[in-house]
Amino acid sequence: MANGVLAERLENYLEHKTHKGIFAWILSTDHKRIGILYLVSMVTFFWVGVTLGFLMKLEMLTPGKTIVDAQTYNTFFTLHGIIMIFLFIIPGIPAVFGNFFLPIQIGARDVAFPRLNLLSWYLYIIGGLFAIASLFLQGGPIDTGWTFYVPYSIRTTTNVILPLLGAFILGFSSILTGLNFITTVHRLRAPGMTFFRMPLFVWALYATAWIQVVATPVVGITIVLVIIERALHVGIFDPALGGDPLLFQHLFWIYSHPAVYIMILPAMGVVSEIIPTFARRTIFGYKVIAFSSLAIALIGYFVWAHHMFSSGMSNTSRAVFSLLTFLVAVPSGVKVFNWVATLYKGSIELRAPLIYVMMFIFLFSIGGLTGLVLGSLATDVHVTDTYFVVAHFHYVMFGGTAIILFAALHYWFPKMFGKMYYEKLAIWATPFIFIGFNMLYFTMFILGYNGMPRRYWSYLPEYQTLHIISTVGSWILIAGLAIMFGNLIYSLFKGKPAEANPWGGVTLEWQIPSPPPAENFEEIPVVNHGPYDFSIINGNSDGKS
Amino acid sequence: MFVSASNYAKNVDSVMLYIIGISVALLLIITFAMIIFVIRYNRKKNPIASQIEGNKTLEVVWIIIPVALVLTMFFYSFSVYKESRVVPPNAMNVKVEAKMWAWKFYYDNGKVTDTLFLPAGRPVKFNIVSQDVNHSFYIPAFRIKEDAVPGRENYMVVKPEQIGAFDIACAEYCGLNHSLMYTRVYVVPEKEFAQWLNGEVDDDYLRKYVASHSEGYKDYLSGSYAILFAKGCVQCHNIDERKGIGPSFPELRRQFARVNVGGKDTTVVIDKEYLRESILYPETMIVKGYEKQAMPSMLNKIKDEELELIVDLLYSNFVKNKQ
Repeated sequence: MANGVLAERLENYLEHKTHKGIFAWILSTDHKRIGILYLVSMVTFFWVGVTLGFLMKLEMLTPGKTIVDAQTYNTFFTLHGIIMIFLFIIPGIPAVFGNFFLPIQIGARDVAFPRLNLLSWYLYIIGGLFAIASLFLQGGPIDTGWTFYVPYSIRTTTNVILPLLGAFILGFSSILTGLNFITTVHRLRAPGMTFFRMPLFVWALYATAWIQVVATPVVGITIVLVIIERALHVGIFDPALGGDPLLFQHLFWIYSHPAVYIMILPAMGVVSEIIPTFARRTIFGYKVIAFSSLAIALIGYFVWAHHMFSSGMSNTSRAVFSLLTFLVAVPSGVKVFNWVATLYKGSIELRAPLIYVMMFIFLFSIGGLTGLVLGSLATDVHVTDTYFVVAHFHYVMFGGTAIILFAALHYWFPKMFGKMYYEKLAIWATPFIFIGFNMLYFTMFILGYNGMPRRYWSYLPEYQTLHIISTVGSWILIAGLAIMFGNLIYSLFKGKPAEANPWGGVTLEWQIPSPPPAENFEEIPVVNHGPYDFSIINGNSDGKS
Repeated sequence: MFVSASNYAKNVDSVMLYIIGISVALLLIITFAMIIFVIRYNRKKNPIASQIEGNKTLEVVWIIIPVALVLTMFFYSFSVYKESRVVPPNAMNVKVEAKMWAWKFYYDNGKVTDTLFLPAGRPVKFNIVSQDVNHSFYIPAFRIKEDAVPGRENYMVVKPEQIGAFDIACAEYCGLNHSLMYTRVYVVPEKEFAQWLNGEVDDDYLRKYVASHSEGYKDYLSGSYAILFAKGCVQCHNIDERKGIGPSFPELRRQFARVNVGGKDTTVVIDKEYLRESILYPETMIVKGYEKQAMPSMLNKIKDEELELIVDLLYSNFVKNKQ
């Protein structure tokens, strides 16, 4: 029990306090505490977003007004989008689990710039407050949709500038985190931790960080231009002032399409951690998965205009972007094949994290495959801007990223908090989430193909049956989420103490005590094998040497 | 469900079936393989895992097959889509103008309408513009849309084939009443269309033609409803029995209405006075079940003679016409 001895000697990061009370958190530069700060703030924003989503679905129960008027509904979907995208999914896995585990997985004591890391969290909180402050101000909350399309965003009388500033500040948070991670990966790897011995989660974070650094400034500049145009009436995007609305759409999607990969790549990284651990075997095709992350990050830059097939682009652009979009689907598909192949001849223990991963593979595959319908010109111009698109991105973002965020929460919960969650309750939540999710969003594919446009406060009566099924699904889904989060919060206080390595994982975080010591490692480990080398462990002993 | 009204729409449906067919097959393979592996290689049955690091041949195969599949999807889809982008020489031009929150259609001979009339069997090139913000001109039954962007003219080509009435929606978010920005396209034979375009017959004649030559819409045969369209009544009140945001006109045949007056439920006789009151002061008597969305008052928005025309029309065609 080398780890037990270690734990007695070293203070864990929760006991180690540099300041008193709350200041031990909000002034801490420990990457683990910052990860927890992000987790708490993100889960809070997530539930605000869920509440808005719940109210939107309730409004959709009947054609015409059900609970709110059109103006309120329009602000609901705008804020739901802004909160879920900018405050939950984009920071999401990198900010929480990247912060917590990236240094540990490469054998470092912290990220390269710990103070910058804390600053990123403050920027995130300030940006978040800006984004939702418009709720309480004269003029009313923003009603442009999260895409801020010009000219409407120039002309509406609601508070547009404040949330835009919020998104701008959040962009900086994202860029700084990206910079921090890139530097950390390049400079702080433990001796022997070559690039091809890095866990795939680190690879995914690394690819993501590059997108964050390179793409985010584009949306920052675009946002500033919209603010200038709105405040000073300088013609940039609004044709009434001499601008071009399509220019805005191009600039917006040059960031916001790669942003989709900022959202999904880290989740793919987590999947590549969880599957080997519960199958007790090495990942199938390590290099292919690592390089496909980079390929996705790279090709992901050249497909942005597939959001604009009906916007009036030239026919040549439509064809070229359609072709590239089809090609970017391939590396994601390859990853799915590799994951499933990793289960082959494994020694599989079906625990909650793996159940979430299986749910992910099913839902994300549906999301990805319906992406082919949207990449194809003939079908896209029919279903774009309809509920089909709404269904598609919820399958990818919620069924993909958020479900994996839940998987990661369960997988790393014992390590982060030193407590076990209740396995039975965790498993009980999954059918609610799965059934609720599919009722809520699969119906939207059918609605969309039938011509139900998105961002509609009212709808034609023939769509009502499907809307009712969808709304009931939202209730079941929320019940599942409540069970899941309830279980985790309860376990935080009442859970049994966790072992250092409850799952038998071989990456470095499982070789240190739970919760980790303040400085992670008593001695920086020397790495002499790949990340998923199960041949060297038998039982619960040394992955480090 | 899944109304399609042109060959192009049917071709789009075929592309959809092709992509979805392949997708379902892939999804089933992935899902079943995953479930079978989890059961077959359960730790109890298979306590020691085999450390398989990869298989070059297999990995190359499952890169090449998807690439080939998506390429066939791309080419098939593109070949179908071309029809909506290539303007045939015999195409008729219609200018579509969007503004918050209504559509206007301009024909080459100067005719302007709120609802769209098209001849069956002839390609139409829509030249799409916007007066204010972005909109999107969307006809689900034709499986096509194109944005209306201020400051530029977009186009799309459609060849309607089936006689009937189909919805036109706005698909790009445009503010408060985005979801109410609906109108209709009526597809009629070329002969009737030419008569209409030359002013020999009116809108109403074409709507009746559509009503008598297609499914649904039968109520239209009993009267002249042009004014109900001109004044926007049909956005919320349907001429057939379908429920809308407000009660449908055929509900007037019940002779009595259960209404809410000052918070109390009561029953009133539907007469001309009731119709007049309901149009000018809709909030005083709201029909049960429709309290959620009050109708905007038409006071000062319609002329006296228009009000009388609407009241007479509703009275004689619905209240007194029990069919």
